[in-house]
Amino acid sequence: MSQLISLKGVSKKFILRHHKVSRLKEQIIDFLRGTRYISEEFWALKDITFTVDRGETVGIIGENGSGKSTLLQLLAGILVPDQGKLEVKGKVAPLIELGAGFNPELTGRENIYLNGSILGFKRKEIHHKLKDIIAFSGLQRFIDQPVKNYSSGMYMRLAFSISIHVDPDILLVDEILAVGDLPFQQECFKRIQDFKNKGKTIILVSHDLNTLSTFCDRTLLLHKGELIAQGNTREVIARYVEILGKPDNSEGVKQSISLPGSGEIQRDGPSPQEGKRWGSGEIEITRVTFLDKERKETCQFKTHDPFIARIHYVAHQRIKKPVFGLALISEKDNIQINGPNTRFDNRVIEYLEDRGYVEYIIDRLPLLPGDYWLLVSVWDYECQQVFDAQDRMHKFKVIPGGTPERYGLISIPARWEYYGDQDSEARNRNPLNPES
Amino acid sequence: MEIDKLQRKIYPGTVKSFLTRIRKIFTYQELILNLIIRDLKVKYKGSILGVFWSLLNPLLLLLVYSIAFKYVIRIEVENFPLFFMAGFLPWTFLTLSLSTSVNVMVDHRHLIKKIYFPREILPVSLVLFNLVQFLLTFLVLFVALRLFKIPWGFSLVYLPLIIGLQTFFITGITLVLSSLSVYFRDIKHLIEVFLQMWFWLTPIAYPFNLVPDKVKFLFKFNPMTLFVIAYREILLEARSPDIVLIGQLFLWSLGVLLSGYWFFSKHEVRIAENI
Repeated sequence: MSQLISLKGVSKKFILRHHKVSRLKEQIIDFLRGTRYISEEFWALKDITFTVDRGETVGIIGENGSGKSTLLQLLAGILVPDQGKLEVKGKVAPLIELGAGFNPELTGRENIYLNGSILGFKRKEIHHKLKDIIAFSGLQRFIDQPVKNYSSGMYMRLAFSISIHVDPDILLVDEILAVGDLPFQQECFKRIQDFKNKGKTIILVSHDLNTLSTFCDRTLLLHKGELIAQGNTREVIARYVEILGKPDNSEGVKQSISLPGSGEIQRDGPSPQEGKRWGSGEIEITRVTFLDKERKETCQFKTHDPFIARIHYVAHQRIKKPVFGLALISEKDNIQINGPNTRFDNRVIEYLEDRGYVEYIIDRLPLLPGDYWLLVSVWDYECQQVFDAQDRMHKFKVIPGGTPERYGLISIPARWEYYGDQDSEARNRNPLNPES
Repeated sequence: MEIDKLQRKIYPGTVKSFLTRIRKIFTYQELILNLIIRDLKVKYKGSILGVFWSLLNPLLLLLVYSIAFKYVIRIEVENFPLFFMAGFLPWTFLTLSLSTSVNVMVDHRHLIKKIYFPREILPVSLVLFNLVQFLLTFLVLFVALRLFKIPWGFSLVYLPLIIGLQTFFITGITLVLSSLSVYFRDIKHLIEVFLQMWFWLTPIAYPFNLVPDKVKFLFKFNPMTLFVIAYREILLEARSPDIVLIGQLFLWSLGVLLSGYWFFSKHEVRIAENI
């Protein structure tokens, strides 16, 4: 077996400056004033050593901020290590962020050529594959339309189709599988499986533990920039889940939400994180209000009442395709009840500007009496960047009266049926399908 | 694939690494070409007048300067429109390249952060895009030369050489500016002011012989002065530029290109993480 990737003690540091964007003017002023430039070192990866052989599929997991993306960027040649030795043999194709190289003014066909050449194709090679790429994207009718007229789904199909037709030795996949609707995702999975069957090497970064266990021969676990476990995927996943649940892992708790609301806020024990807020601030959640069926503001609901959470925001700049997410959390034991977001609901917000609000509407609130927290967050489309997240800063109460049920947390819409022993005919009837 | 063997073996500062880099750019010529085509398409798509727009700005300025020189400053220059254009079109090539080079990295940051390709492709294709536009406007100048019945001579064979040297010269500066713009986003304001000053210190709107003799040698330290003189000799006087002038242009162009490249290669690896 030949070794395609080899890392020996690779470390990568970033310099954190007090201003994200530094300006010459400020530097000159700082210099004249004699103030020292404050900068801080941050080691995103520390002493990483591993190898990958040809034909292997290796998964990488870790919380957000554990260094997964940095590692992938190193493998792709985008970043260079500050220490250690990194060797990658063969053609690397990143399947990161679909459509990054698209120009909206150009047609689909023109973008295939442009994107193809970014991936290192010659014109002839692209020409050769053009038919396949268009066919796989299913956009024959629209291929000579400017990409700006495409829906986001069409955009993704085209981008994925181009990436998948690259014939690399090593395929780097970063969370792309979280994008798109179900049939599209299945197509992606199928193509990746094809790659694997062809004996290609795949590095797969995912938060989706199912994906990892399906595909990966081996998995690496990153934690705060260190490679703390590698080997059998199942064992590594078990270790990962264990880390997520650790109460002393304060950094981890705040970052362990992998998708808005969908991930684990915490596994056990009371959280010290009440009232926590973080994010980069391009979009701010300014206020959260709860509304009843008359759309009047209230903080008290009965079980089975309509429930509306209205999230007011202000966008400080135009942000494309943000994703709003929330989570309902029971105050007792801090149990997360759900974790929906606008993307799961296929509700694509093309862009946000200025102020406005989004509403999360439950027609019949299933929660039983008690106190509940709301976690609200707004993310970029890939769910990589948090603009604003407010963990347990908003609270509402469910009061008795809607249903006599009182055990557990929720009242699931359901019914009881009773069949006496004497009625054998009814017993054979399928209660879920009375007609049969 | 050869590209990939090359992409991780760059040690800045050696002759070998320089040659490796040049080879690497050639393997990516497809991308350069596509970037130029993209920029041209985006610029001219949906506008029938196309090249006319690139000419509009120099033509309007020509009008302003013609009036100023004829009626206000009252300097008599033979065939002023041609005289002006022969200097101003190459100047526009420079200013357009320099003023857009400070945005090129930021504008492509999603690409830079997501995929590896030699970063100099971006400034290089930007300069070549401006070169194409420059050549298009130059065609119009040739038509005008015919109209004014200026004789064409053997000297025209020097034109591609001078244009090539100017392209090298501009590429060198562009490499420096584009890598600096990653660290200092406000450099574009500085560039605007600087270009204004440079314009008036270059004999574009006025003839070089109006410069006082005492400071003439100082003006010759300005490579753009040398370029403008060369363009005018070739186009307007059908005269071949002398060997000293060509030698100076060679030194300037290659010097700036090489030092620009050296500067760029020192900073290239940090572009992705700082942008």
